Amino acid sequence: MVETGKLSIFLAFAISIYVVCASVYGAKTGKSDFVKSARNGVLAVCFLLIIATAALVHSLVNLDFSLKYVALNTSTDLPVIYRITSLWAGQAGSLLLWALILSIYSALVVLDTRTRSRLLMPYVVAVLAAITVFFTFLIGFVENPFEALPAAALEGRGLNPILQNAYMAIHPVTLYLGFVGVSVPFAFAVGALLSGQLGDEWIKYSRKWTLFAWTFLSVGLLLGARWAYLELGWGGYWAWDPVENAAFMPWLAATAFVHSVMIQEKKGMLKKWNMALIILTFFLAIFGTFITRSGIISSVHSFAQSDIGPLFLGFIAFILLFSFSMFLYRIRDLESENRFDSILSRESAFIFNNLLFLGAAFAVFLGTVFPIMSEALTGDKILVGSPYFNRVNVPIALVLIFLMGVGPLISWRKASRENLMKNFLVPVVVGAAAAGALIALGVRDVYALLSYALCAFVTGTVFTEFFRGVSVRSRRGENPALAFVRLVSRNKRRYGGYIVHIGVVLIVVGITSSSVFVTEKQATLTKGQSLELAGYTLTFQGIEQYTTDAKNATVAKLEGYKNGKPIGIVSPEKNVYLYEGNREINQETEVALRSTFTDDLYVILMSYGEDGAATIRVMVNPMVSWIWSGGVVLVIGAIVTMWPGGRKEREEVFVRYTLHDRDRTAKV
Amino acid sequence: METILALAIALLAALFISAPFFLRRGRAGGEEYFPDPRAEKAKELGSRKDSLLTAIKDIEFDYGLGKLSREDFEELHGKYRAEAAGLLKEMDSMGSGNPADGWDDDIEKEIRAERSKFAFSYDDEELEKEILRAREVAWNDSPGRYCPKCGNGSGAEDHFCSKCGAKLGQPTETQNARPL
Amino acid sequence: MLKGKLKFIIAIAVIALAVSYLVYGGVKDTMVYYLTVKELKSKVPSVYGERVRVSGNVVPGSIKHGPDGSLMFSIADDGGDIDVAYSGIVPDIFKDDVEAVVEGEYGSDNVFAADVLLAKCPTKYEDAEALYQTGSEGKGVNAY
Repeated sequence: MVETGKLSIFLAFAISIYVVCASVYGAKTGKSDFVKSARNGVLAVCFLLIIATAALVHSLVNLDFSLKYVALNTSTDLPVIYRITSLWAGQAGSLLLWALILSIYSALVVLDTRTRSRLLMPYVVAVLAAITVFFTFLIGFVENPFEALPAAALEGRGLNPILQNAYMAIHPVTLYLGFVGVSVPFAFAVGALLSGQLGDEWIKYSRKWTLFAWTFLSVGLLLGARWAYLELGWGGYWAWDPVENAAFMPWLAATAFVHSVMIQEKKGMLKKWNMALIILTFFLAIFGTFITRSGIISSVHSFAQSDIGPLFLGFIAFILLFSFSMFLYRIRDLESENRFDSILSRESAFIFNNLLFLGAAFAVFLGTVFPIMSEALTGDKILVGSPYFNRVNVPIALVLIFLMGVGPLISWRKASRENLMKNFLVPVVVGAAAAGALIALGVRDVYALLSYALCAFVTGTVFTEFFRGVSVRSRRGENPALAFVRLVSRNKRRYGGYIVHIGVVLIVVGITSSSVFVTEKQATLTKGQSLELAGYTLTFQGIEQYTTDAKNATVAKLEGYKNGKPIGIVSPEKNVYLYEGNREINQETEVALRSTFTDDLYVILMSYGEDGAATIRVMVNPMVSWIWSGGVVLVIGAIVTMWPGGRKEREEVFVRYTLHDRDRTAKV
Repeated sequence: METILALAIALLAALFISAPFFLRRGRAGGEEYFPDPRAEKAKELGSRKDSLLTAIKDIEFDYGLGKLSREDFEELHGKYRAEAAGLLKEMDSMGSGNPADGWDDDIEKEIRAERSKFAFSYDDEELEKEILRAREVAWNDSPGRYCPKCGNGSGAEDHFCSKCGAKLGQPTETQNARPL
Repeated sequence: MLKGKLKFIIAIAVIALAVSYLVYGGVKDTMVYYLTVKELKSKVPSVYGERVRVSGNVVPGSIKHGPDGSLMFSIADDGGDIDVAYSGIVPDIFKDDVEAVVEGEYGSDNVFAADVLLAKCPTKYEDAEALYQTGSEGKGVNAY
């Protein structure tokens, strides 16, 4: 299988080059055979990369230690499921995964647009193929997953234990689905620039791919946070680590883009802005991949940790130069059809939304590359700490939450006083009431109050929207439940978007509570001693040890009570993995976590002594589960926005409307 | 054994990619690729019409929810309606070529094919009905006249249709006539 | 119309200024030099009391656990070694010979009082030969 895998990669590389040439040639000369052939080439590349991936998985599962990649990432005691997920544990494998996902997206785009936009699509296909050329080049000639060792290793190094859990198994894939997915709207945009089809076509046809990629970026970020929370054992879920930021920046830009395209669709404005924004989003996605893969930011002194660093930089420079020069070339054709009328309008709310998201992305970018920049400029490597990121992003986030509430209710073009009063009365009251109630309960932290009040405000606006929508329909005689279902299904994007906003609100509430109201205590306990924190009481029962095939475990048993009620035994662990191959990480701390609607009890076994005493650290994190639940709501909302169908009803409306109109005219 | 498999894969790929050059399927040569500008124009008009439909529905909805003031609503509504009428007229005038061409059908087939890609079933009959009704709107708004035989637009003073030569009756008659 | 546009420009400028202010203030207040042990020692005594981040390899045998969960160890590179005192969560990967990163202040008693401790896998290069001997080689995820 190895030879087949190797050949498939080389073929994929060669065919991708062909696709770029044939697609462009066919489009320029009008020879549809070339265009068709290129499209077939895209499908062939997808097929080939599936074969290559299957070959690698086959080698991983069968522990073919003659391959460097297999020897580095697996071991004989590794369970089969993790042999499969080790596909993306290392450099070469994850690059193959990137290429595979890109080729699948490309194939789906080709199949989806068989009869559409014949002037635009050949260029879109060419751009997607060009990106594929880069990645297949990397895996074919620089970091080949099928590279052989001079002699087969006797045993593999094994997979890092912290990667051996469900979250880390799927988090990279979801994140890649997001990162790679951004290539599609980017390809449509550059395709539009190349073909001259600068109307709304590229936005309309790339819309579902944009939403899909955005959803997976969000899911990937949340899964990464949950993994960090469960496995890294410091009680938090986000550290503003360069690798975390690498995924966050494209998410910020993509969120801005998802909103600003609505303005172009509805009012024909922001054409230049949207073009530039999607190019920026793609740049951030590739840059994020680069940061994660090349290790350039993590070390004390930056030198590329592998050969792919400079290649990535070259690729990034090329796409930026190429895209922006095409953009400037077409700039006169990207004039807007409309003007802005007033600062108090939905258009301007969207624009401020975009500016803030980009401001946040800029701040995170600056903080992330600061060490590299400072070293390049001054010779000293200077970091900015995680407080920097919070200081900058929290105020921005608060204003964004405010806009999230204002945007849907404020009218287009120009909001009048009566419109403002009528629409915002209830939500503002809800927000103020929430603030008042919290102050009465003793909350004094300004940021927390603002955050909760604004979240209540947004919730108020969303409920108002749903309520009004349902009542408008019920007035026409529909029963409310049916009205609700029909309301959402006929305006999927709008109401799906509102559901996403509710998800965001839940996440923000969770983040606010767990950041502001977290409590922590550390103590060394002997048998029978207790530790109390935030209503919880933990009584130390003693240390126990047990052995499994993989590890020697040491457990501290604590009997837990919450507000007097027993919650069972809480058992944080410290494990030593038996297998020699995992020598870098053979010790692992397993956090004991008890999650409820109101808070999480998070217990870490710091150390234990021969005298039978144990040092434990306890944290109570309020409302962390809201973050994960909010994520689920967000995904549901996103799925609603992407759900197909619903065109027929629109035609009906028009027909009915026209008839109505006809009647009126007839009377005259 | 594996070499054979690998070669087979390479061969398959090569065949698949070169297939379009050999399977012409009755199309005239490989040269005519540039889609017919008229068909493209019809598609573009159709897509603009869809956007207008959405826009009209959205502002009706927003108005119902109280997000739009009456005057803004009427202004936008009128604007969209006028644009829709103009679009339909344009679509219509394109549809009326030489009837023998079956050009009308071609465009409708294209539009139908387009729509079927959007994953919902569009009833032929409904399409006819809708075009009919849309034409009525256009006619009622326009000052000109339409040929009862081929639907071609003509000036108010014409006695014969400039396209198909059919006799045009009195202005008052043809204004309410429904061709087809 | 011009008046409307002016309001816009002002609003955009306000946002840009506010973000810049936050960024500037944030950087100024949280910036931390990232030094090697060698560099740290070369900056003595001016570096005493300043918050810095230092990276070095954990000297084998230097790790001592205190009774209350505190930790003493030394990190070194080709410029020498320094003593570190830390109490807090210890990363699982922390042991002899790993690359450790500490953040805190270097006291005039020449003990580094750290409140942040991170540890990384030893090297990042994938060395095939070392692998062959199942050495402690290769990349992994940065485990903090």
